[in-house]
Amino acid sequence: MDLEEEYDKIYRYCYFKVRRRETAEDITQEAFLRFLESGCVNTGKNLRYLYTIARNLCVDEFRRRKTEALDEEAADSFSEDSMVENLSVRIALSQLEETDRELLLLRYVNEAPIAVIGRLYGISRFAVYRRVLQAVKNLKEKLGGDHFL
Amino acid sequence: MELMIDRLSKQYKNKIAVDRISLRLQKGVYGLLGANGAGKTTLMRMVCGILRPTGGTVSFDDMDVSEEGYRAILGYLPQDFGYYPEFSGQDFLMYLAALKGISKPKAKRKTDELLELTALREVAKKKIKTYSGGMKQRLGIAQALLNDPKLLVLDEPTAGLDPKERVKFRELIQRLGEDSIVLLSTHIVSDIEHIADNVLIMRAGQLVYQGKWTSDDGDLEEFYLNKIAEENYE
Amino acid sequence: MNKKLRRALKDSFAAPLPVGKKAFLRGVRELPIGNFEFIRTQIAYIRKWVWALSGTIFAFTVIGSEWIGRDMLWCISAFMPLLALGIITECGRAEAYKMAELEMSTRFSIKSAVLARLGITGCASLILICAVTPFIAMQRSADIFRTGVYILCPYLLTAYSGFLAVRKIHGKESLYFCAGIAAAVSVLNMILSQELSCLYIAGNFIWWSAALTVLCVGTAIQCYKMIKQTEELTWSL
Repeated sequence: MDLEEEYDKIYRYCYFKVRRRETAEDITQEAFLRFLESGCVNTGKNLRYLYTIARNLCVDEFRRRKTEALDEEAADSFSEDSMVENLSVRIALSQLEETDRELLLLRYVNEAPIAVIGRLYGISRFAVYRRVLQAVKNLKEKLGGDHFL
Repeated sequence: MELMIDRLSKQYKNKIAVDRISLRLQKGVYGLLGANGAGKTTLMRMVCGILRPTGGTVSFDDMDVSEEGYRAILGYLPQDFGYYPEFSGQDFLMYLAALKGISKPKAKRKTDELLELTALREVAKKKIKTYSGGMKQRLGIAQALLNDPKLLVLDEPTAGLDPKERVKFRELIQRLGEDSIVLLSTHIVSDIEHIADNVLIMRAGQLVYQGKWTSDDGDLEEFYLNKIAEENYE
Repeated sequence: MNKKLRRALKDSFAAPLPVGKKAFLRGVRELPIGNFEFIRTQIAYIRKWVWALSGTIFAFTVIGSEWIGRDMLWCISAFMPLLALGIITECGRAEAYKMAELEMSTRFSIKSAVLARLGITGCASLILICAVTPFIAMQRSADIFRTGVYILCPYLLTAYSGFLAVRKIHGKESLYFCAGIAAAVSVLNMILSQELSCLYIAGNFIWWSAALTVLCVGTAIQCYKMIKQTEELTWSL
């Protein structure tokens, strides 16, 4: 496992959830520290465990904040600092369900293995495949007749 | 981050190569000056744990030099090194990464990064025997950086580098000195003048000067020669 | 999901650059590569000809025993020095090619690497010898133990002399010297089995046993000393 690469991925995942750089970094580092202390290192459970810790820490963070403020932020930031070429994708993404967005992030950006995603959500691998395909389908629908297809 | 060298000595049958040297090094670049045979290489080898001292200790942040954890934060470039004939530059780095205990994915990433940093990308897949002296030296520097060392020990690192490579090297070392301890030895005074914040002068196994050095302090070469001459009169 | 869309997704999910990453990663202890993992990587570095040789010897024994019959013994024992050469060179390479100093300063250090390779090639050789001995014994209708001893002796003789050479001679010359030793033992073996076949009769077996014991002890000592030598730089001043 390459610590540096995983740091980037976990950080991206946390940022996606909490939408604040500083908090995301704190959570990422806390997750790594707990992971390293757990002694689960170098077993097959590596990545799954790391994501689980990160996810739980994000949930703790939500409880600390007021939910409404968080939702507004999340809705906005996908249209922020838009580069024209990807504007349509960003807008389409912002119209999707949060869960769909998360799946797309995990599967296509972080390239997390299906098994890891499955264990993170507590669903079967088959269910993961199904949901990911559905998320892609939803995204393509929102994109409409774009040249991406 | 501190390297502590306490009354370190190395004695052979009828020669004292290093004579009770004590040093405390923090972050920064330390230039070790001294003539050939002054004991620089012997000192460095003991700091790297590849030569056993006859007296004294070396430790980094409470880790003794003999511990695996010490070697994990160490990067070393010996004065002279070889290579397995079938290796390309990339193979060489991957092999040493494995010995340094770096996992394969990380090794691949670091190797690419360092080959880029030392401008060896184009020749990465070529056999080392086709490399020029300067390229080989750059490869040596690259392997020393594989494990992001906190302690970097370089023995005559600028040997074989052309002026352009030397300038790039100096910039690299200055950057590294910002968050690690760099100990480099040379008998070329101008190298130290440009790179090091601190100067250590060795003669006949002993440390005869240790202190900061900036361009305001005058000509290092003159100072060095005087220091060496001084000892002759004692 | 085509490439373009993937890239657009990667962009869309981009987060502002983390600030504390470098400092944090420096602070944490590096994830160590486990011992088994290390041995596995060392296996990859053992040169292919060593494995090819073992494979060839085995195949030759199995296929050839029908045709060659009794002579199989001296055939295979002639190959044994070569097998031993494989082990010695794997252990002695770092020193011969001046990589030793570099390898000594690494976390696993040259001692572990040499031990790992010694272990791997040693085990492999032992397995090979155990595998071929029954075939040869069958051909001579001799017992397996005796046949094993006949095969082990040239092997250990080469190993003993080879380790001694690697310890005393520095640089690439040591490897050439070892190759020479292997060749010499091989030839010696062939001559002995052809000209002095009386050596192989049951009555003389006591000499072989004695030789084996001496060689076993000798090789073990040389091996141990060689490993000890990898612990620190002992030759250059």
